[in-house]
Amino acid sequence: MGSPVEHGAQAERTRLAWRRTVLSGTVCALLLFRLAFERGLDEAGALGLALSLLCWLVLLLVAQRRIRAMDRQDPVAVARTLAVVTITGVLMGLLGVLLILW
Amino acid sequence: MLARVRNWFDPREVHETGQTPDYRFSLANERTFLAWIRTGLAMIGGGLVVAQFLPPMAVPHMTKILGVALILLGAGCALRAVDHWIRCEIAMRNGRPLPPSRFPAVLALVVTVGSLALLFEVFIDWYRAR
Repeated sequence: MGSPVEHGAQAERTRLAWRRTVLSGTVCALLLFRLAFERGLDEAGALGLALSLLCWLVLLLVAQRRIRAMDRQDPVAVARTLAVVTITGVLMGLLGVLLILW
Repeated sequence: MLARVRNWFDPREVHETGQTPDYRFSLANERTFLAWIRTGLAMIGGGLVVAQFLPPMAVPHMTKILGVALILLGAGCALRAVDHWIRCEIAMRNGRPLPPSRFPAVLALVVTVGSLALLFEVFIDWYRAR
């Protein structure tokens, strides 16, 4: 925070944006867990529960790594991180569709 | 399009063009991406809530249709977020203007039309219940 090159606490704001994103992902994951438990954990329910738990853990891990390494400039790693976050989001959506329709 | 999808997973190609921009711009681009991801997650969460907690409506299976539609819209938001992030990154590296996008306008229209349709549905329910 005290470093002279830091303008407008950019790194801090980005860290907080990551935290908010993890929070949103957690809400989605909890709703998915509930949807899976509600149907009594048949094949689709168990699969949905396991995969949504995996998605949530991956999101948590990836975000934590990015938050820790915010000051290191590695654009290629960032691009991969963002791709992984997108995949977890889309996968959570698809699991939701699976649990709702099947 | 496929080349861009490849760039999501193998971004080295992107980072060989132009020069690395000021880190503040990179972080701002990243925050914009995260904001879009949250928008997508909010839609997915909203779809899950609609499918789980809403009582049945006048049109049969309406809650399921609405939930799935919201979830698909949210997933689309997430995919578009990473695509837009890459395009902004390439533009910034090459000193070009940021790419224009119709997506926010289209999303606004879809949400408006969806809300109006839902309002209509609520009125039908209300009328029938009287």
